[in-house]
Amino acid sequence: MRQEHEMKLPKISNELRFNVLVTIMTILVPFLIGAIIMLFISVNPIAAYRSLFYGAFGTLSGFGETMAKASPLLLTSVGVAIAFRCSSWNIGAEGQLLIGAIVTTWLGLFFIPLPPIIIIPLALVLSFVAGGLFGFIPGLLKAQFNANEIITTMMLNYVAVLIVSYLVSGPWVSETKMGITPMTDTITPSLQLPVIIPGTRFHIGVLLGIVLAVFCYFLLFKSTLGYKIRAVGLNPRAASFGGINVKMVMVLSMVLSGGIAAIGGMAEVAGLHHQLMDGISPGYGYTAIVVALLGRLNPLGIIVSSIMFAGLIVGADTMQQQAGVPISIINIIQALVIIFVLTSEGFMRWRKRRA
Amino acid sequence: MIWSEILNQVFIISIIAGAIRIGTPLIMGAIGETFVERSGVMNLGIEGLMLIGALSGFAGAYATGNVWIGVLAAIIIGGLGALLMAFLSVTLTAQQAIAGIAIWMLFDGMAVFANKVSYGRMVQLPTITGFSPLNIPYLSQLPIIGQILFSHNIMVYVGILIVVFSNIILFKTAIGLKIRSVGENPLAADSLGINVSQIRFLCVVIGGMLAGLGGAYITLSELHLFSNYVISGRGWIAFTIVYFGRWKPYGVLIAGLFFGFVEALQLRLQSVLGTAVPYQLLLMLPYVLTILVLTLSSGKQVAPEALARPYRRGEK
Amino acid sequence: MSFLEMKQITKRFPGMIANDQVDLSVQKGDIHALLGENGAGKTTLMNILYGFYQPDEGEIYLQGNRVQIKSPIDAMNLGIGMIHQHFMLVSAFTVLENIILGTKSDGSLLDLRHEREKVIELSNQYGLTIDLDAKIWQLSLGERQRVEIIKALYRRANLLILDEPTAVLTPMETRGLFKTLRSMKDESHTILFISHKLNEIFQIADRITVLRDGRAISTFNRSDINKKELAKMMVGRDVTFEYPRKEIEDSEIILSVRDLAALNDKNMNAIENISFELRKGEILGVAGVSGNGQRELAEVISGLRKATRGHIHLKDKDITNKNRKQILHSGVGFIPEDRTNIGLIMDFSVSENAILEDHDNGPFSRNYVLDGNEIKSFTERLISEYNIKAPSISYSTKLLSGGNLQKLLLARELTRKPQVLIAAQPTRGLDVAATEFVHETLLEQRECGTAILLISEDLEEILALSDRIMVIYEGKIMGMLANKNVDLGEVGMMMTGTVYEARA
Repeated sequence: MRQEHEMKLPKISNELRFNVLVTIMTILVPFLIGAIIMLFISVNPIAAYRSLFYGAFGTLSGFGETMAKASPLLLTSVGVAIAFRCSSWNIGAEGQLLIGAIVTTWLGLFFIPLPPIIIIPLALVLSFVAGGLFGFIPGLLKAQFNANEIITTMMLNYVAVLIVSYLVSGPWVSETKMGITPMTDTITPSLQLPVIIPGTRFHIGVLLGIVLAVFCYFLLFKSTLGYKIRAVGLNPRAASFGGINVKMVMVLSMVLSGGIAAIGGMAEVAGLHHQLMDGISPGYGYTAIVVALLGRLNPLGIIVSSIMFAGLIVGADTMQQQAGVPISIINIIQALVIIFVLTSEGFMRWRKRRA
Repeated sequence: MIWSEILNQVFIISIIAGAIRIGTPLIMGAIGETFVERSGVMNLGIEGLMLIGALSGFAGAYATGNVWIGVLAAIIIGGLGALLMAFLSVTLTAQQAIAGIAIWMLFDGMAVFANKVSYGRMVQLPTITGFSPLNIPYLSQLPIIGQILFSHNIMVYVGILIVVFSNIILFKTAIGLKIRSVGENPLAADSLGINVSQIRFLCVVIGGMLAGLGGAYITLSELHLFSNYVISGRGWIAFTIVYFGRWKPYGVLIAGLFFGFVEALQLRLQSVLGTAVPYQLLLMLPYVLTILVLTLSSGKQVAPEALARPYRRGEK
Repeated sequence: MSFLEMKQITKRFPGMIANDQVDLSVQKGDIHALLGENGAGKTTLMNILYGFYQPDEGEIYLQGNRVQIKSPIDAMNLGIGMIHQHFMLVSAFTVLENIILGTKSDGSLLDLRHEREKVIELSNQYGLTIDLDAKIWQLSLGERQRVEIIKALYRRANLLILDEPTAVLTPMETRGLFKTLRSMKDESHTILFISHKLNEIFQIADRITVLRDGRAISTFNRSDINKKELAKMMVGRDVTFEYPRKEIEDSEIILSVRDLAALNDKNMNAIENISFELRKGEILGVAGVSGNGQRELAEVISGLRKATRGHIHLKDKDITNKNRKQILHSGVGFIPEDRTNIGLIMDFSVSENAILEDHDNGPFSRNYVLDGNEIKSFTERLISEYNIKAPSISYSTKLLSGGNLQKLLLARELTRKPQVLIAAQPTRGLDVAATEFVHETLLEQRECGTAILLISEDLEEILALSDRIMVIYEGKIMGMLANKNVDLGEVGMMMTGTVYEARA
């Protein structure tokens, strides 16, 4: 074959501008669609979105709630991002979070005499290990047996929910506390994380999350392990060419992912609820997927997107009260964000093929 | 002695009959997904499609007083929802896993939203008459099997018919061969002039329609009302039933009955066993089993070869 | 009037011309061979005929009528059938199911009694025995090919295109195939036979068209030409590379390969009985059409594939079947032919790719942390030394041109100072300037004492650079000769299947 003259280097600035534009669109358009839905039910979208924002960031308590919800979101999303970077589709962050919550509750209920300086780090470590195990199983099954990790992690989600259900209505059920759903006693005060702004539920969980996110950023982009994880995620064959043990890295990414997500569960119990109950997670592990994708699988970006989504969840409550918009509109918008991320990716692929 | 005997017969009959009843929506959704996966696509959004089907079915019946309008509504809405999934997976060739999750979240959200908007203000939870058990003349009077097999509502029998027809379509017709070829080797199918995208679109939409139908079963035949929790994971179970049933309608039927059996059993056992065995342990069984099945079968030889791989002509 | 006439067919892909104003004229009832090396444009031309691609320019005439072939269905409707190099069969289906796939109307039942009879009739007519109820995955490759042929005949193909049909056959199966082709010819079918195997073409073809570099060079009746002339035409070049080379003295043996064998991805024999030695400061050129085991040979030596038999010694160290990381440490460098899928991670930056093989070692990392500064200065050094056109070290690799990708690969391997360097198709797809750069770099390395295994389908390149030439065909060494007064025709014949004595 004969070669035509080699192509010139394309301009970079256009590409960058385009990428930023696309990212903005993937957030804006879903909100626009949300606005249209609101019009359908005779709600003023501007007023609705204003109350959304106000509810999330406008008052002290609202802000506190936002930051409280950002904690599990941030942690699970960072976990999800690490696995996704390795092309391991960890849908099990929900279950991994619950495992962390379970372990933390166990410590908090049965190790009462331990002082905070021991019990808090212990909770962190044990949660990480337990979550890591919950990630290890699907990871190993994928690496060795090619078992679809989406299903195995999803199945473990159910298993985790059932374990929680068993524990809170069975052996750990509280004799004294009553409520709509079964719950355990309150954990020992030694394990209860300090609150940052008194009067709110804003606990240090989110700070823990930020620290871990920054750590994971360095892990992913400045460490050899992170290099391997990204290499395997992008091109396992080329990764082997470079001498990387692909299977081991896949499993490791799932272990890390599960462990970090589990710390999210630890923070929920230790920092917010101080107990375990059914429904302790309203789907954080699933929202984490959206948050991770929106944060472009970059832990630093995820800090921003998780706070944003936390605000969305909190603000949705206010929006429902003040503007009469059902909270579920947030789920719709969330889903639309993913769809638009996918659409924009597909669009860019299509562009490349035409060129 | 007599006490446990009576308990036993009634027990067993109600469990098996329960298995059929409870398994039906799972089987419907799973048969739908069987079509989808046989054509090479993986739709993780069944959970959401079933919920919106459940709502549509209820809403249609509630609004018109005609339960069959509800059925029609569920099928149409489920199909439309799946159309979006087809667009993302087949036209845009996006990662099917993520597309599926997005579809799930979208339609779950839409169902919850629509429910709140339509019925949220009502003081009393709206209900419908829905389908009631048919007592097939003569046959339902038969001892034991009469109750087990012939006293169900009509949708159960529709479900069985769906299984039978799906098996015929997939394995005994030319279009079924085409569908399966697209899921095994889309390049080969393409080289023979088969329109891979069209077939995949068709199957994904069928999957959505059946998922919608399965969801509607729950509101129209079982509960006669709608709540946000009527599906609660059944969509995911339907998804795994496809694997369990090895992508064959009759396999799906058995797997669905098995799951239905486990559910029916644990409901009964709860009252009998009390606190002896935690029911959650029983409920975990299907999920753990699925993990085991996936691991031991190393799916590749049985699953459609091209499953979840986007097809772009010109790429290998 | 010709049965098939392809006029001035031109097809371009990004960066190259696959078919350049190709004219092809095929007579009815002929077995017409298309001879050429990889990249000559044969498969592209046939894919156009079968409707997989559309030509940018040119026309196709069947029996005097202009036809438009926009998809495989059009081709099939016109009676054109293609048996691809990589079979288009559904493994899980039976033979009969594969044959009738897509031919029945959608709603019809799969009661295939009628179809079965027709197929049995066909197979008897052409002597193609096959078990209709066997599943494809149970069949040998020769049997699968038979299924493909029946498939085409069932669809009433009267023009059959076979793309490298004997690539996967045993000699016995090849004889069977030729018998089938002759009986098809007797039944007035016309056959287009793509191959690079001269011997076989001479056994079966009536007329032969030679393609080279996207152009049709010439067409001959088989009786009017001999093998040697044909081989020369197939490999001949317009551009000649001239590099003065210093003679090497007898130097120590760096790489010793004994009786090496390995399987390919389809678990068939890829290489067998490979034995050779590579000396310090020597370039051993491995000539041969792509797909004859070169890739597997390179992968085995560089630790990316397991050898099933034999030994590889690097000086006195046995490196057979060591894992990739160990090989990387031993001093074996590899520039793979598949740059974008195997050698590089396209979504990584230039610097990230530069350290792909050494990211775990100092100075690039210590205690599992990457040293950004060291990586930066290393990459900058590479960029300037090898003149890689990238505006920064964090530039995305997928934006680099082919030539710069190759420079990056070269740079990465060479700075590791390998004792042995395997360069596979190093100038494929590169323009003249980049090609010259690669050649000069390889010769420089040779001067420094690196032992180089140069794998290339470009015979001119092999001749320009090598000290010795080893020709590989169907996984075996056909001949080994010194690069002195080499007869192109002879080498061409080795490349297409004729064994010669080693004359090294």
